Amino acid sequence: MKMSCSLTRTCLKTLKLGQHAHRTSRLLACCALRKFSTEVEAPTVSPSLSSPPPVPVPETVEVLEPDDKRYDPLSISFRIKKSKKKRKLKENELKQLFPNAVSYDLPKAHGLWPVTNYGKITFSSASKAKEVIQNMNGKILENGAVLQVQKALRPSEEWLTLDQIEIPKKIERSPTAILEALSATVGKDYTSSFYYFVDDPWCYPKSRMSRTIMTEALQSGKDAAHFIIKKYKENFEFNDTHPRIEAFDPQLDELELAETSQLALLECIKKKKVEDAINMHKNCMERDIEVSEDTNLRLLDLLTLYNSENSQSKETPKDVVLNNYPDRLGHPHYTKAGWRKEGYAEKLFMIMTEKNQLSPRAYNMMLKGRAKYGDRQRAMELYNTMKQTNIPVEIEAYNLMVYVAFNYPRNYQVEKVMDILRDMKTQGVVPNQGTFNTYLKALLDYMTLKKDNPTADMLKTLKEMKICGVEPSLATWYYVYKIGTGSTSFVKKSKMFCLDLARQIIDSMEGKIYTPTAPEDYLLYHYLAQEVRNFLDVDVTYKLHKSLHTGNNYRFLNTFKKELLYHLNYMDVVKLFEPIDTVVKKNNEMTPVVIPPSASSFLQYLDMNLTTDAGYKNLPLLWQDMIYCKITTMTLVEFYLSFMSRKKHYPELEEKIVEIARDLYQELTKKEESRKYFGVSLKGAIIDHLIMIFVNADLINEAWEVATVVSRHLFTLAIKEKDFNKAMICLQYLSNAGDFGKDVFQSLKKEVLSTTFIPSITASQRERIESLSESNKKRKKKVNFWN
Amino acid sequence: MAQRNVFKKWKPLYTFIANRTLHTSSVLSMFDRKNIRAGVPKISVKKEKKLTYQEAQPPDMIGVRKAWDSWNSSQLKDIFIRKFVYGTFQGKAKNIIIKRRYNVIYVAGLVNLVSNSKLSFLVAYTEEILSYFLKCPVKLEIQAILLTREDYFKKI
Repeated sequence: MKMSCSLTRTCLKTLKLGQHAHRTSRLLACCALRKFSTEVEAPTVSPSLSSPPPVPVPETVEVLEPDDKRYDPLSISFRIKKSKKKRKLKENELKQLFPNAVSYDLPKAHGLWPVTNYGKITFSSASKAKEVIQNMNGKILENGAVLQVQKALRPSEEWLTLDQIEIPKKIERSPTAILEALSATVGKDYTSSFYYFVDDPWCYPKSRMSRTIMTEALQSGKDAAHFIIKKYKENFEFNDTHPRIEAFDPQLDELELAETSQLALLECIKKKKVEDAINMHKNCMERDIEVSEDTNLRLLDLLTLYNSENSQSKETPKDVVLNNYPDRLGHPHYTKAGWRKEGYAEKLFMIMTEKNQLSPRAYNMMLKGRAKYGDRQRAMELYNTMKQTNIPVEIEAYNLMVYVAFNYPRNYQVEKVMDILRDMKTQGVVPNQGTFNTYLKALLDYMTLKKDNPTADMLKTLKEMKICGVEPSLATWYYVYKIGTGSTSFVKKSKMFCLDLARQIIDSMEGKIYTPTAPEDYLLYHYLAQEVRNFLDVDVTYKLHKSLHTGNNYRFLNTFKKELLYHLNYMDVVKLFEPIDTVVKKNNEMTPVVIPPSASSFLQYLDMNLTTDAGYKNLPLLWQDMIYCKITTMTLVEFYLSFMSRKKHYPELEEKIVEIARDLYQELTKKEESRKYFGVSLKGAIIDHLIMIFVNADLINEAWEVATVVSRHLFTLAIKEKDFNKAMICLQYLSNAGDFGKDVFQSLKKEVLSTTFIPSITASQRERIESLSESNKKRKKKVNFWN
Repeated sequence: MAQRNVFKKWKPLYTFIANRTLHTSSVLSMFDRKNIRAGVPKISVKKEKKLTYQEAQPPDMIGVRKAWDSWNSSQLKDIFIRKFVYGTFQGKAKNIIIKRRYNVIYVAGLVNLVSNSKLSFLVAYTEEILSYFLKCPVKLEIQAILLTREDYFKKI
């Protein structure tokens, strides 16, 4: 490092002076740092070896929103960077560089401190300023200096006093919004099982039956716990939490207040106990207790929602997953009884009319209830009275009335429907997703005769949706597809037409995340998968799969059945078009959880892998899966072993197959019944295959071991039929065999000679038995042709 | 060795008063582990005794490789949880460890039941009842042991 002469002089001076040494030393240090940083030179390299000087990278300009009020849109700030010598721009140069400007402000130097030397230039329009920034930023001037051009800040006084500061409105989010956002970034994990199950691989359900059994077992455990909690309430009442947590109080669902009062009524309404609320209200009316307008309204709300009867039990995970959940309320089609004409809702309505407590909200509630549960006559009556008295009707009521109006006979149908839609327009009510969905559903349900052609109406509604700016939900696509393909009508369209429709629908679903609005949302995906499988088009299936996995859309396959159907259809198409490796990969992802395995699925998998030589390497894994899932049936095992024993495989595979064979043999020859291979027993075909496997692997001793099993079977045969002649035949067979059946021969001999076999054996028979021996040699001696 | 008396003048009287002293011996190093007799299980003749991982660690590894089953040993709740779990699983639960994270109590252990559905029934039952008793969510993290599998770490 070079020391400049001036520095040394100053150092000497200070040392001489001695006074104010600390101040001067600080100043010296700063000067030194500055000087050294600028004066340090890179090690000189000869020009032949040196690379060309590096091009300075232009700094990127910040992309600011146009509403950023700190910055002045018309003006620019500039400065010079990276110049070796101090350089200042002069006015002439400025005018050359920035010709279109209105005013120029040169950088001012103020004070001792090194200045960043920003200058300012204003333009007449903001677009010019932007152009200049893009073009001139990072421009290289003489001597390697770099121009830096940026947007200019307003002076600080200005942007603090701007009155146009807008504070955005608070978006209300649920307590788990962050968690939902995070989980949406992570896709579906196929290897994890349903969150409800116990988290141990041994405990996972491995077949369809066991899956339902597990969910029901879990649910029944919870029910048992709740039974005990109800029975011994006193033991669970102590609650010492600060702040008080009510979630684990035993009396959440039950009513606390037993008296007849307004508070008790409100409690019944809050806990959705309809019959209790009705009784409470009756008692209040009898005893002349005051019931305010607000509580009457709430009661009306409850009764019209649930049709003045108790709703079914709560939705548990088990019900959702096994599809036991009763059809969702809020949909008119799913009630069998219909609107209760003598129910308490009507009576309440009469009471409220007497007391003049009827507000437009009450009228709307009544309308909605009657329309939802299919009482056409009364709904239209109320509707007409509301029209005459100019009571505003809500959107949801209009939606339900649209469906009700379709219920008329054909002559009046069109009129009535159009009447309602016109009323909507005159009142200025904008149709929402619900109106279009109900209209399409009505088309589906009511247009079933031959002469009907609902496709034209359907296409018109789609156009209107675009004009109104309403986004179609999954339910709309469900209705569109069903109407377009004519699944309900007598005339069914051709396959190409259906494929085209499906393709267009799936293209329009791309990249969108849907929220559940109607119960038909949950029916689209597996229905489309089934339809698309009939056409056997790969691109469409992959697009569908992609749209399933965008964001949260996977939740629309909420039951086990739907998942299964969807994925089976998906795999059917994939198997035909993809090479084996990808198919095997996807299969291994899906099998234990989403598509629980069965013997037939394993057989299919086997078939697929046996068609090519490359597929054999996947088979040892199959065996492990069979053991894990406990699907070891005789047919499967025979089939598997027959293919393994046919030929000699490459050595890596052979090792694994030999292990499998040994394991099988050892497990099956134990005295106890083997739990590992439950359905398998050592029988003829399996023995053959095992022998061949060992022979192919050049393990002949083990093959002999397996072959001795035959003799043991003969032992059992001989004993079962307590016939002397047949036992003799077996004994002779075994004695001829020699070493092959030594042990068995001896044991058989013992058995035959004992009294349990045949109580009375003659002496001659005994002689014959004892004359038989294990080896052949003695036998040969006895045979004499000449005697 | 008793400390030397400082007050030699008072020696004849104060010999009878007991002094509080320490009786020390040379320090036993960890390399002579054979001589330790406290906290170490005795070796059996035929090597039949089964030890779990925790039992097999010597006492100088407490805090390093050997930990407690619950860190808050003064809690009455832990005793209650243990009794409850041992009872409902009919004596087939072993090695229960209790952990607390924020609001939740995690109960981890080994269970030796044969059927899946029984296990899941009992797990759901205990979770519900314990959470209603203790007023905070309780979760069981259970690992299943089969009959044929051997659940020891070492045989001594």
